[in-house]
Amino acid sequence: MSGAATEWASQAAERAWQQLRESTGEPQWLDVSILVRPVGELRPGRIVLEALTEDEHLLGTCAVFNGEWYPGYQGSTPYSHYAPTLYRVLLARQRRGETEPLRLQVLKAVVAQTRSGRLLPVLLKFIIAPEHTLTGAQLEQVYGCPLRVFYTRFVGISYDVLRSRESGGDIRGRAIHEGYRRAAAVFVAGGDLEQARIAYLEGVRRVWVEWLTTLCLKLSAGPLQDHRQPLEVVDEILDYCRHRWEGKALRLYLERLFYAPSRGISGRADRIEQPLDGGPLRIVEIKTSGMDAEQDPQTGDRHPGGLQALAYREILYSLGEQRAEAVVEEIRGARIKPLPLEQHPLTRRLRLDLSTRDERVVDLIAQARNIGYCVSTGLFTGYDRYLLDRAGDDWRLRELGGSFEFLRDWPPCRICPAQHRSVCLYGTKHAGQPLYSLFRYAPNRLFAYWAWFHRQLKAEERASRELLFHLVNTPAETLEQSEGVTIGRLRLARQDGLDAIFTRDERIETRIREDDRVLVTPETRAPGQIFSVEGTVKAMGERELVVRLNDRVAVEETYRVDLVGGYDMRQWQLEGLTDFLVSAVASTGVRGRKVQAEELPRLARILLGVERPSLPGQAPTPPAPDLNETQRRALAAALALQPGDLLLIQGPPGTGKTSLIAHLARTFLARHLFDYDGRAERDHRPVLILTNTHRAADEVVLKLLDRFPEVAPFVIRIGARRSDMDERVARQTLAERAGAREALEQADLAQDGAGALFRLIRRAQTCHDHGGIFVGTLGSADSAELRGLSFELVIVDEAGQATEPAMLQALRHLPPGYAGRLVLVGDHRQLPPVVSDELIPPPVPEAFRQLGLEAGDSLRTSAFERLARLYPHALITLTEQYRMNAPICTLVSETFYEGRLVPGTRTVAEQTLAGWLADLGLSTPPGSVWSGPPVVLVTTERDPGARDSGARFIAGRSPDEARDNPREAEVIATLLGGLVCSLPPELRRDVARGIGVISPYRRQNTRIRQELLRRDPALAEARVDTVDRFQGSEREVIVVSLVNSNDEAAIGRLHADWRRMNVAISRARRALVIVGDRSTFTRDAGRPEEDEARRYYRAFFAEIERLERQGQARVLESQSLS
Amino acid sequence: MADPRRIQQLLSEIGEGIACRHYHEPRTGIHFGLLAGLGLLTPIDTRIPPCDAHGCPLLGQCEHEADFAPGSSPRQPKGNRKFRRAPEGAAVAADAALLERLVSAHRLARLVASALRDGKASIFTLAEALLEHDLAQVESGAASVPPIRRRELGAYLRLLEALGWVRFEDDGLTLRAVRLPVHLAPPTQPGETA
Repeated sequence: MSGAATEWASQAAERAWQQLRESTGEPQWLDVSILVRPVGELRPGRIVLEALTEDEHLLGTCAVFNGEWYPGYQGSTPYSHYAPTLYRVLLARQRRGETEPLRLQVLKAVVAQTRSGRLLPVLLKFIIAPEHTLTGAQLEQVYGCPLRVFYTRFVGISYDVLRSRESGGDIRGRAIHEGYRRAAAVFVAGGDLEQARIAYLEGVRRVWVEWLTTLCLKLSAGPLQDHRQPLEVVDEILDYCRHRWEGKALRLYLERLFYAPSRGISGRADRIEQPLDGGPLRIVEIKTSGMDAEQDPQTGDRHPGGLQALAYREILYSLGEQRAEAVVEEIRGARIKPLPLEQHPLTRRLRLDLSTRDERVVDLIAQARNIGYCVSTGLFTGYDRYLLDRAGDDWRLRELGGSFEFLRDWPPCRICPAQHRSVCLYGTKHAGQPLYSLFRYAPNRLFAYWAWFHRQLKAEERASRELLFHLVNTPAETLEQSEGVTIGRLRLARQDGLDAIFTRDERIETRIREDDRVLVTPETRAPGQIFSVEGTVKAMGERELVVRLNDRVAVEETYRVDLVGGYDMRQWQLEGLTDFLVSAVASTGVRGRKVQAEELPRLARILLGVERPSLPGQAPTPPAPDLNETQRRALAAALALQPGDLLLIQGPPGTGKTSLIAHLARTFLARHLFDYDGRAERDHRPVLILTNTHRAADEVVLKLLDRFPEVAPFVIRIGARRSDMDERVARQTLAERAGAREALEQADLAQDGAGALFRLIRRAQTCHDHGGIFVGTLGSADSAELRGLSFELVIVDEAGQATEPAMLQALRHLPPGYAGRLVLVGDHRQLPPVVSDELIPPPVPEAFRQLGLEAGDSLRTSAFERLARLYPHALITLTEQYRMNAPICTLVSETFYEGRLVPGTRTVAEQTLAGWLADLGLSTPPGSVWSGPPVVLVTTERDPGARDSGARFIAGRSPDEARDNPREAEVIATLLGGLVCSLPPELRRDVARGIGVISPYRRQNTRIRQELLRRDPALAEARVDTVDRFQGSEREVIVVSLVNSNDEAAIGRLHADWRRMNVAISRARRALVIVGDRSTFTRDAGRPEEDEARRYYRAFFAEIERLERQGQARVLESQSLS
Repeated sequence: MADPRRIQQLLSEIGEGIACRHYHEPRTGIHFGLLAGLGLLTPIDTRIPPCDAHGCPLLGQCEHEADFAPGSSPRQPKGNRKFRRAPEGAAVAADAALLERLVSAHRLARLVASALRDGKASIFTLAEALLEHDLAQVESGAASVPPIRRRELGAYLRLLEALGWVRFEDDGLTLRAVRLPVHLAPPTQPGETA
């Protein structure tokens, strides 16, 4: 909390405390935020706290007692979760050494008189750490079984991907939701039923096209009825729309994200109806499946969604909408059954009175929220092996105080992954031999490894869970100026369908960029009220922003756009990490005693440093004239790999990693082409290739198609078509292979929709059955295409950029006991994994040296880097590169690869800028820097105007991203203008397409783009980007802007990782220009954490000077260019 | 590896008993799908006996034993795993030469012959032909997708090789017709002499 929000909350707390004192003995409803610290020794039944305002002014001492008791209270003590949960949270924080105060949203409190006559404020009801947000759906899960939330959300237990699953991601439900949403919007807007029907069918069609791959799950094709339902229910939905809304004036809010900062709950209700005549808001939660449903105590019928709807109602209450109603609309078969919350089994079983402000409703929501917070963050167990195992003793979590009042009558074990994996011993649905005491019986090294990475992933998750609270409680100006996560004062220029174009007069300087997920809110409101709409940024201009919205926005005065994060990759990484723990222990077959590390599968032993991988062997390889000697050696070693073994292949820039992967995949497929059957009991396939990014996966597919077109029928690109996907790659996705897009676009859904879909599914399944090489990203391990499949060979590309937990995803598809081959391809001297800037890694235990980890390592250290350190004998380095000419190669090789990297051919070594221009019928501008040696350093040391702007965005969020250096931008524009502007206008764009400009700072890149456009519009074709986004690409000409130039020799966090420089300069094929201040990078700045980087920078500049002496480089003063 | 002599030996060994693929396939390398496709074995799809009822040598060691135990899950597919010898199987057990006729009549014979119409074909071409065949069956509206026979195709090709009808070349990537029976031989081009 900061600024005005802190001040306002502090004043509110002071007033509330005063109110309490004035009503001694009478409990008061407060709803204010305070900070607390425990006083003295923590005791479970009576907690003494020091209460502070948000600006840390002392309010006084207060207490919390079990059962909401307070001195002088005469009534019976009901069971209450508040005190036991707070006790556990405080205890956990104490154990972790967290000393900052804990935030409580105090809902109800009383000032009581103690026996000694002292007045003591007692907190009765409160939300613990409201800044941590849980969704309504998560609350429903806590209510269903807190133990399941502990296992899935904290521990990270997931389904076994080697088993086929019967559920297919509920496409049926998605189709109905989307169709209904569109039909409702169209009917309310125009009252035309036929148009609503068209909109409904279009919605169903879109979902089917988008999710066809998931539909192709083997078992999902079973009940055809399942796919017919979205079409069978259309008449009922339209009838319902007409019945409810015909002739009524109302506004619909569809799929809006709304958020209660005081409750720590967010939600996305399917629909909120706002009558324009001033009636109460009506929240509608649509449910199409009852897997997790509540049973009616009288009728025995099951109905889902009760707690979710109640939580949404509570959010609206907390936002001031005291009359809001809530309804669960159940869609079963071809019928809609609206169930008002008053009649829901949840309400009836708990005997809640919704006609008044029943405090038991608040207790129910608060219990689910507080327990959910405690459980999903692992606060009540931490990494104590005994507590982790003991948590599973009782689904009511005895450690948290025992029997909670507001829980379902029985946990839904049928849908719980912890049950399916035999980790949870409480239920009765074990799939195999129970894993007794998993955490205590796991080998020490395995548990320590799991806990070390797990802790870091959870720390990253924490920041994202607190983001909404931060947005609401921080002034928009601070968010925009200091953090760059908000853009204010935007006007809606146009709304084209769901695409909204916002503009403003001032230039937009922000961290928000294309593909980011944002929240669009009228500036009169706070983010997360029902008027906020989620969307994805489609385009960013200097003064313009295009957002694809989830729902249309109303025309308002001005809007703000807030960054709410991109795709969250933590949960699947968590699942990969925990899967390694569970699978490794389970596959030993040992039960009832401690597992020894030596008993783990061989590959697990290798990863844990218990056993060394084999020396790379040399299997016979087919003739491969397009591979060089080191590539052939790597191919032979990979083919010689035995099941359960590991090989590391380091591929420096341009060394043909992708070609090697294509050869390996094709050769392996050929050798196993007749060894697999699509529907065998154990579905083993030959090759799985997982990459860190979609771009790399697409490149592998393209290389396979280009080099080995004969394998195309057996290559499956995992996932759906993306807008930036090459058409040939898109055709390898399962949906496209089945011709789904065309077939569904043309199908008359009203006539034979389900039949058309069914034929498509069969077709896609047939293609899937024949697939032998599957290519996707590491995040797709749980994708529909891979479910139930194991692979003889798993190749991880870009392994140097993947976090260790991400890499572990690859193990999930090896045959049971990890009896397959694992090949990691990457380069630990290029960019490391991307993790949150705020990550503070836990210390590396001394014992982790056996794992290859060293002090300073963290989630940023890839498994590839760790294993390359640990097993240098298992590492094969490709040394011949096919990108850079000889001088550029020498610079890269001598600085970063101990001189081992050489040009692969003479042609590559001798390629020049003049040669490229000559191929285009052009010549280099005479007398310019472009007509000299291919490596140019433009130094700005003596240029007084070339100083960086300093860090701009602060507050711990990427403080460096907004650094810029206008003079460097100008110099670069001069240089590139000199190259391009001298050319005939019709050819300038062709040349510009061969140019790349790289700096680590987005702000600098924006500035460079603008400068280039001023010189010549053709320079818009030059790619100007950050190093991180440039990795994997190349250009004929690369210009690097170092930016940092200052008296403090501050090179910034981004340059402190020297690998960025390696990546930046190794993108160049024929010409490389570096613009920057050499002395800032080479002076000793007295910062030990930068010592290693400075050593590399000194070597880098010294190598340029050496090249200059040989006539292969040139050093210029920036002033000489103007 | 399926060759006529080993097939004959296996069929003799099975005799009138029950043959489980989990026992015989890893031991002999002979694909049961191929033997069934050749009409030598008949799968038992109803009232499948438990493993102890036919005295399986793997009793107590086989991971699939539970699938056939009384009271096992009815959802667990059990078909196509236990077989009896068919009359043709008994005939081949007595005279391996009969196998050539059955190989010529096998349902994959036409597909292989068609792929070898130029005298040789890449193994990828053969595998693609199988995929196209399966897709065609889906398009024709067959009630259910036919069983995939990729391993069966592999076993069939190796049997053809063992019979001396074809030969693998180019590190196993190419299949060349050597001595195909007349009715499987590639059609002659107009103008060529037979």
